[in-house]
Amino acid sequence: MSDRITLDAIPPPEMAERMENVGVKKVRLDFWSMFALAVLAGAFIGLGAEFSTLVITDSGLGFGVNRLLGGLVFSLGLVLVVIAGAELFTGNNLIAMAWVSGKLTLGQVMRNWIIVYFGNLVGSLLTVMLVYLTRQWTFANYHVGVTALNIANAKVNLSFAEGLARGILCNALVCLAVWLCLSGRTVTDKILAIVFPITAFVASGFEHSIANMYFIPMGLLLKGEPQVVAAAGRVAGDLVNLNLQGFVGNLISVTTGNIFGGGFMVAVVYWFIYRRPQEGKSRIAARTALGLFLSPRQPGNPTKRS
Amino acid sequence: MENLQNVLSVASELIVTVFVSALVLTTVIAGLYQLVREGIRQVYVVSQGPAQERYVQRTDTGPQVAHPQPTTGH
Repeated sequence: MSDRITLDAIPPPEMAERMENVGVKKVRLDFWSMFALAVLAGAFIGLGAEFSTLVITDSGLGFGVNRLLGGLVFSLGLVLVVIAGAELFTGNNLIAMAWVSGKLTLGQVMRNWIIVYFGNLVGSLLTVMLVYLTRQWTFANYHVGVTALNIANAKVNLSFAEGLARGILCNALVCLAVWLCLSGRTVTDKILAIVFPITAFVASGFEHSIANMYFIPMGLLLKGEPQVVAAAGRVAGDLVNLNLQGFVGNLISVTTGNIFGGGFMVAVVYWFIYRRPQEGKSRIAARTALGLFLSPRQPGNPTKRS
Repeated sequence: MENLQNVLSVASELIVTVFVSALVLTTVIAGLYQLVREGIRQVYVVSQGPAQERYVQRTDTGPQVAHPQPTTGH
């Protein structure tokens, strides 16, 4: 009976090692498994977004508490992704850690990101379609629809810099949530690790590219519902940017920010702290920083380049 | 003073936007380039595979494989 139950959280250096191994496993998934898991993640985030939209409608609470509540229930999305298992683009930005360690090539990382991004889009759009068909947006005299319309309209009216900055901060928090999950040993640990960062990003109004794949298409559909537009007190001119172009424009700025926030500000920073080679630190760090893009490295050998 | 604040605000916005976009764009383009290169290499290896195998068989085993000696069963 030498096995003891350990309650301590896994320490950060071990978390970093786990993250690299998880990244390698994720990248080695075959196309269809990866795509199916990505569709699931898109759907899970869509469900979290739908739940959040419903809960913040006519809650009667003050501004801050209302947003706090919205963020709290939005955590459902990432809880489903992490506990049930799915491939989420924003969380997968942490795979960059395995890339900078030389366990993966940038091409392998990019393959994962592309498949997962489009899988997430498919899952989100399917969720939008189903939620639209439920006519849930008619609840509370169309006010649920009004909330969804206002959220979408606010998102497409962001400038590039705003979208970028909000995207950076959002995915820094999302990746920190995933990073904290690596310290947990039980489901409870992981849920608790997820809730606060996710609540923070939603309440702060930061931008998540995959959540926007639910929010903006839902707004696009509701723009065509006269009762919702009337209940929102909007005229056609107010919603002029709520179109496909606005959707794509938002995704470009927010996705760019998400990649930087998750891939560089969390993954690369933690790699630098815990996983960078210890011999000739400055030389290797400089070479890594400058030469990472120049030629692909052989996976599994950080020093050998092809 | 207000002008200076405006200039600083615009400058910081520009720097962050350009720096982040350039870094992410470079990473994505480098990744796509590598992805295509790895894909081409894979296709090349698959298409060259059997030919190389035949070549290796001929050179390594020579006439012994091309004209195997009949064996008597025991």
